[in-house]
This record gives sequence, C-alpha cells and structure tokens, in this order.
Amino acid sequence: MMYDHFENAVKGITDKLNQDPEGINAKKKYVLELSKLGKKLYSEDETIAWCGVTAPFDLLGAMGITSCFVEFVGAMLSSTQTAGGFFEEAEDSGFATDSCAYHRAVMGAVLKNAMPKPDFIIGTSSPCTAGLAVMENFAHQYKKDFFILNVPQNYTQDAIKYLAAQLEDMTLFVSDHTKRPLSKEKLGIALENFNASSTLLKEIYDLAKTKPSPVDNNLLKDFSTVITLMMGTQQGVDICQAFKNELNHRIETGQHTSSKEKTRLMWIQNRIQYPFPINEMLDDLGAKIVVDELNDVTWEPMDPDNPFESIAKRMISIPFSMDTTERIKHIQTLAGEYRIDGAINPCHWGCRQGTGTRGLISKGFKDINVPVLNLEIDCVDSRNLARGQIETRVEAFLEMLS
Amino acid sequence: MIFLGIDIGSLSCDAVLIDEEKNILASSVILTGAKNIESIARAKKNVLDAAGIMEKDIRSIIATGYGRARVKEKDAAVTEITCHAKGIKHVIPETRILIDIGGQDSKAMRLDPDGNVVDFAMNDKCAAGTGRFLEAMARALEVDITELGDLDKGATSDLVLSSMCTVFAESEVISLIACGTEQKEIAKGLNRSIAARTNSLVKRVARNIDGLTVSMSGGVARNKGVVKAIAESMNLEKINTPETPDIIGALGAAIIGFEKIYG
Amino acid sequence: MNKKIGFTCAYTPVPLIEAAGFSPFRIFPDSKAPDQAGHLLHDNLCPHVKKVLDRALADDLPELDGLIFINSCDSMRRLADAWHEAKPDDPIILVDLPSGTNSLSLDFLSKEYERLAKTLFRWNNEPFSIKKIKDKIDNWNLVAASVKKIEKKMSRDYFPGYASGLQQIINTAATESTDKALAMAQKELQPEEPAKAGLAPVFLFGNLLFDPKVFDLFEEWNVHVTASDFCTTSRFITPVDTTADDNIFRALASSYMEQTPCARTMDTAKPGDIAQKIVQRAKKSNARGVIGFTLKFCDPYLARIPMIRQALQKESIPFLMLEGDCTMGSMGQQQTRIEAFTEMLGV
Repeated sequence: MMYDHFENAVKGITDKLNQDPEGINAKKKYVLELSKLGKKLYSEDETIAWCGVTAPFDLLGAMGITSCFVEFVGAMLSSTQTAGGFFEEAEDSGFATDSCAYHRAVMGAVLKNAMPKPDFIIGTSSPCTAGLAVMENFAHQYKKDFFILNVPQNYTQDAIKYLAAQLEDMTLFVSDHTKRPLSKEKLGIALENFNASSTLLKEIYDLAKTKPSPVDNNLLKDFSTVITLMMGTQQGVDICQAFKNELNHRIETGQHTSSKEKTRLMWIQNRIQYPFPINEMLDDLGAKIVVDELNDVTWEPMDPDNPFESIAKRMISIPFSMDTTERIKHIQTLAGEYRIDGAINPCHWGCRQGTGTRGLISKGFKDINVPVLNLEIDCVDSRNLARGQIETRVEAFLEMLS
Repeated sequence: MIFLGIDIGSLSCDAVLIDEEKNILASSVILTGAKNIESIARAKKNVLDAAGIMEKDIRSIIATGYGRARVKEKDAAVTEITCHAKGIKHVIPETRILIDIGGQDSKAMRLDPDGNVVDFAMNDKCAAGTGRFLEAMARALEVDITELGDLDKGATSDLVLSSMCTVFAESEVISLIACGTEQKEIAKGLNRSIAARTNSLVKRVARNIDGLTVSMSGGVARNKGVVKAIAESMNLEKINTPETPDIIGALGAAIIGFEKIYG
Repeated sequence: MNKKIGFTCAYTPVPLIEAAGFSPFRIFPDSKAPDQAGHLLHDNLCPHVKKVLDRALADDLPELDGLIFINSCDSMRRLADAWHEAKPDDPIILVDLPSGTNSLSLDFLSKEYERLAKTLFRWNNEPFSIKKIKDKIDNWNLVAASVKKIEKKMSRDYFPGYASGLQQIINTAATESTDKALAMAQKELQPEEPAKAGLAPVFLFGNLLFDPKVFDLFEEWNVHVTASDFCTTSRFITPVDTTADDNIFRALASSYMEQTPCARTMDTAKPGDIAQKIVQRAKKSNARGVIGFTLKFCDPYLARIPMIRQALQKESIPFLMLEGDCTMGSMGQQQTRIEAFTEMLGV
C-alpha cells in the first residue's frame, strides 16, 4: 500500500515537473526526492536501516544503505491523516498516551506490520531518550541487530574522540551486514556533497534573513531536519541549489515585498504535521515564520581525511541536543540575525527533550525582549486538538505584537 | 443461614441478601450520598425488611466498593473487582470478559471458567466514560440520566466526541448544541467515545476476544445506547447484561461470604 | 558535620562523594514545597524532577556544597538546566552517561567518573587519593552485601516491617553515610522475628519508590514484597566489583552500567533485555506476581512496559501496572488495584 502511495507520488510529481522543465520548482523537486526515498524504503530490495534523528545519513549512504529516521514516518502518517489506527494499535498494546506521538504512530505501524522491515537498526542517544527507547523496541520486535551511537551532551575533546570511535565501529557493524567494506572514495564523494549542500544551506538561510523575507510560511518547514537524509548525495545538492534559486528568484522578481510581513516570527522545534491551517492563518494576519529553530548550519565543513571526527563534531554541535544554555544562546543569535518580532513554541505533547524546557526558553526570549507564545499542542496526534483555543491564542498573540 | 453483601460505590450503595442456595432474597439500590455510614445502615435495613429477616440471622457480611472499609460490622472486605467477577459468574456463568462501568471508574476483567479474575484493567483516575461522566453529559443535554440510554435512537451521523475529559466534553457538548447538532447525534457521539475507551480497556486484558462471552455489570449497563455502542466497537452481536446490573458487586460479595463458610 | 553534596540519580557513585570528604545527600522528591517547577520547565515532566526542583526553588534543602547531575534521561538533563537558573551560585557537575554498555562506552564513563572524583576532591580542597576512593568503595560494598542478605531473607519468607526497614537503611546510605547505613543493616539482620504467612509474594519494579511508609502500605494491602528494583532501592546500592579492572574508575563504570538495569540503559546485544531481567528477578525472589510502579511521564519505562508485560505474560506471571506521582495520596488511590491483584493471586 505504502509503496503504491510513493510510486504514485513519484509519477505524479515527475509528470508535473516534465510539463515545466524550465521552472525552479524547488518544493516539488524536494517532495519528489522524499517520495523516491519512501519508495526505496518500501521496495523490499534495498538494505534498510532505521535510525535515530542525528544518525550520519551521508556515511550510511556511502556504504549503500537506505536509511531514514523513524520520526519521518510518524510525521508522514500524521500529514496524510492515516495515523489514527496506528495510535490506537500502539495504545492498545500498552504504549501510554503520555508518550511522544511521533514514536507512538511508528510503534503502531510496527505492530501492524506497516513499516518496512529493517536489516538493522542504528539508534542515537540524541536528541531524546524516548526516541532511543523506541529504537530498542524496534530491534526487539524485528529481532534485528542494534547499534547505538551515544552522542555526548558536551562538546569536549574526549566527547568527540568517543563519538568518532563509535562511528568507526558503526562502519564495521554495517560492513558485517553488507559484506562490503567502507569505500573511502565513496565516503569522500558523500562528504563533498555534504559540504556543498551545507554551503548552499547557509546561503539559503542567509537569503531567508532578508527583510522582507523571501520565504513563505511553508517553504522551509522542518527543512534542516529532513534534508540531512540526502545531503550526502548529488540530489541533495541539487535540491539545496533549487531552494537557493527559488529564494533568489523571489527577491529578483520582488515577490518577497508583495507578501505581507507585518510580523516576523521564529518557530521553535518542529512544525505541526497534520493538516491544520495555521500557516494560512498567519498569512491572513500578516505574520511570517522567517526562521525555524532547527534550520541552521552549526558545523564546520567535513574533512575527508578525518571523516569520523568531522562527523562526530557535527553530531555533537546541534544546539537543540546540547544543554539548554547552549540552546538558548543559539536561539538568541538566530533571533537577532533574523530580526524577529516574536516566537511560537509549539510545546509538543510528550516531548521531554524539547518542550521540557518551555519555561527556560521563555525566559531566554524575555532576556532579549522577544515575546513568545507557548502553544500546548500535539504536533502529530490531532485527536485532541482544541482548534478554537489554538486559533484564539495565535490571533491574540499577533494582536499583541502589532 | 443468610449472607449479606454490601457494595458502597461512589454513586450508589447496594445491598443483597442470599440464602444457602445462593437465591437472592432481597436487594436494594440507594444513592450513597455524602454520608455513607447512614446509607450503609439504610441499605441494610431495606433488604432485611424486604426479606422479613432479623439482623441476628445474618451469618456473614462482606463489604465491597470504594467505601468497603467504612462498613463496621463486616466480616471481611473484598475489592469490587473480585466481587463483580463472582457475581457475574452466578448470573451469567459463561462470562469470560466482564466490563463494569460504575460511578467513578470503569474496569475490564478477564475471568477463568470458575469466575476467578486472571487479569484486570482500570481506567485512569479521571471520571471519563463513567457514571459521573454520563451524569455530567445528561446535564449538558438537559435530559434525565434515565432518558440518556434511548436518546441516540435514529442517529445517522458518525460524530465522535474528541474530548473525553469530563470538563472538556461538557463544553464540547454545549458547543455542539450551540451549532444546532441534534440531541440524538450528540448522544450517539458520546456513546461512541465511551465505547472506544472501554474497548481499549478490554484490549488491555485480552487482545483477542474471539469466542469469549462478554458481559457488562454496573449501573451504566442499564444504558442501552452505551451497551450497544460498546458491542459495535468490539464487533460483537451483543453484550450480555444481567437484569439488575447494579447489584452484581453486592451479590458477588454475598456469595464470597457464603463460600468462605461452605468453601 | 560533613559538608554535603546533593545528587538525584542512582548512577551517582556515593563512594566518590565520601572519599572526597563529603556526605551524600540524595534529594528525594518528598517535600511539600509549592508547585513551581512547571513554570521553569514544563508541567508534563517527570514528577521526580519537578519535585526536586521545587525543593530548590523553595529553599527546602540543607546547605549543599555542590550538586552532581547525571545525563541519564531527558528529564534529568532538564533538571540540571533548571538548577543553573534556580541556584546560579551552586557548583554543579553534569556527568555524561552513555546509553549502551560496550567497551568504548565503559572507557568514556570511566573518564567521566574520574572527572567527577577529581572535581569533588577539588571542591573540598582535598588532595586526590585513589586509596581513599578504594576504601570507601570497600565500605560501600559491605552495605551492598548486607542489603543482599536482607533481600535474600525477604524473598524466602515474609517478615512484617522488613521491607520498610530495608528502605530506611538504603535511604540512610543515600542521605547520611555509608557507615551509618552499615550499622543499621547489621542491626536489622540480628534479631529474627518469626516469619508470617498469608500475604501474596510480589516483586516490585519501576523508577522511584523511596518512602518506607509505602512499603508498609503494600503490606497492609496484603503484599509481601519479595524484592524490588527501583532507582531508590536495590538499584541504588550497586556493589562495585573492584576485581573487574585495575583502573578503579573503569571498575566503577562497568559495575554501574552492567548491574543497574534502569530502563534508560540498554545492552545492544540483547535489545529488550530489561523485560527478561525483570522476569528472572521475579522468579528468583519467589514472587507469584509482579507490580510495576512508575512515575508519570517517564519515557524510558513508558516505552518498555509493553515488552515487560509480554514477557511476564509468556511466563504466566500476573502483572499489575501502576502509575503515580511522588505523593502518598497517589499511592492511596491504588489500594483497590493492589488488593484486587492480591485477591487474584489467591490471598
């Protein structure tokens, strides 16, 4: 069923792109690549690894592994409004409703045999404990080999060495399964692509900082989190280039000035995944999300001569996974660079890592005089959505800002 | 010899007298009210008067329900879970899954052929889907609680209430009324919500209920709409309900008293 | 009186605190301090972490010369974050704890424990001494051995009040000193009250259960606690196998990682092993049933309960899962469930 869904998506988008060969169509190209990834995951003839969010997808790709973080599936089920039955399945088997719905949806899918079976599993201890626990459940359920990358919280030399050594171990673990050693040449190409994508990403984010911003409320939704799945590939580079072209085009043609931008907003953590017209609502009220907290490049270029240490540094450097002082510093820097007027923190139900710091994040914004709206919402499970309440809060917040 | 079972629930205080043949001699269901010691005395008097029996003839008193510790003259206190299982075994012996929705909590039990509990699950501490919840909903719909059971007749929409918290559900019902939604559709929506929650409780004790007889006890079993919705949600043709579902706990208590003496 | 070091997680090696000349002070979430932590963090967070933070915010703590936090789970990390805000002048160390138990992780954790030890000696202006650490570990192991003996006795027969007595010993080791706990343990082992029958032998597991009164309540509700596995009970008194490695920190690391089966730590070679460990411990302690008790919002346990339930079901061991916060009130609400469970076990 899912394979057909992705195949149809690939076909439909390809047809549309063929009708407009000269167009930039960044978002379409991006969705096309994601659909192709989905198709590969469900094709049953690839070597599949289910992973934690911060896994090194470039390194895994260089080793011929089709890999993806499981939250991607949770988000997809939510956005296609097919998660309901999976939530119920997970809850009936004892997964508490207090848990994160990204993971609950995926556990339901595992129990209902609706997830592609992995060849092995690579968990990451960042960003969250809950995510890693779910990965262990997967390994237990599928009876597949399990590898953990422990990502230390502090950026120290010992921490970097420790993670680099684990990454090297991981390549041996993968080789054991594929019977193919890591090809330095392929890794070199992947890291080159990763660096090219990173450079373009920085340029994209710099363009987004323009006032008025050429982005719209939907364009860069959860972009950094998802694009890491393909940054080590030529397709990833091409997508990033298309997004850069799109933003440049909008600026050159003056599109960015035509959209209303009374209020510039920052969105904290991830977006709401199910259809909920918050973007349209913000549009109507003249507000624009110009930056998402997770859309940033916080790492140095990868060094092909020192790949494991480079990747280790990159994995540890994500401010969201570090202690909250670092996370707040990063948010404050972004707030200044993007000249925001306010921020929305969707306190995703069940997320101890991200929204567990609600009060500290609010204080961090207060310290730089930026108002923040804490929305108590489940970003994945729409069953308990109090739509009217959320709408009233957002409207009142924007009234207050203007 | 006579055996008395008293079930002091949050909403009602029930008493049952049985004889040595386990025949029910008398039963009483009254509101517990704020002073449960008085209700216990009244319920006891009711059954003694109805059966024409003196207090001294009672061989044993077993108390159950959340107020079981408050029955001073009891020989023993046994939880309502064990008592409901024992009671249902007497009236519907083939029961293997028992749903008991009472005033403040709902329970699902899996029973062995002898009526022993082999697993059970209780709802969280909130009142969602319980008698109290239905009382609040009846209030919001401005009907008497006894009318609620038939209120969903003829409903055709697939409305489901999203909020199961008593407070939020009440406001959801009020806003549905404000939007002009028909009473019967709201009632059906309510029943579906309770059914979904109950179904999930049952799944915690038995993932697969194929071939198992499902019965329901407790005051809410009188609500035909809820019972039907639960049966539908579990793909069952019917759920068995005893004639007097509210006294099953007290009946079970009385039987336990009998068995303690006669084995 | 010794200066005190506060800590909150069972992965904190108490011998390191004592070797540096401090007294341990485990901050239990047992205060009536007003509920303020939700403002600083979030309301839907582990009640253990919130209550501990409430104590800091309400100044409901003895004078502490430093705090040890362990990066054991998201909620504990958040506690360390919030402590900076609540008590900006407190010296704090955050120990990074790996999730897996392979050799690289043990190396890393041994370095972390060494960093912790050196920091503690520095905080007290004491010269760093491996000998002192080894001596304190030996002492700690004596308590651990006594606790094991008491547990063995508990698993054999029911002795009224034994479970809460054991908890008092463990709490003393956590909040006063190893020496005092040892003295208590030896006393507890001396007179032997006759064993009683009639209660349901049950193994308890979960995240946090520290109040001795709770163990008395369990007895009142017909439960004979045969053994328990909480981060405040046997998991806390982790014996250190000093023969495991010449490097004392590596020995500490391997003992804590391998013997403290908190749901947050996993063995990659045996995913889901926590379920098997619970089955084995329940059987070993001669329990007829298992009760799990976890505080709300504990992700590591929330994710493991289904597999634990499955494993117990496979062995036909009845299982009751309870959830609560850190208050006795929440425990009281479990009475019917616990009594019904013991009735089900045939008591």
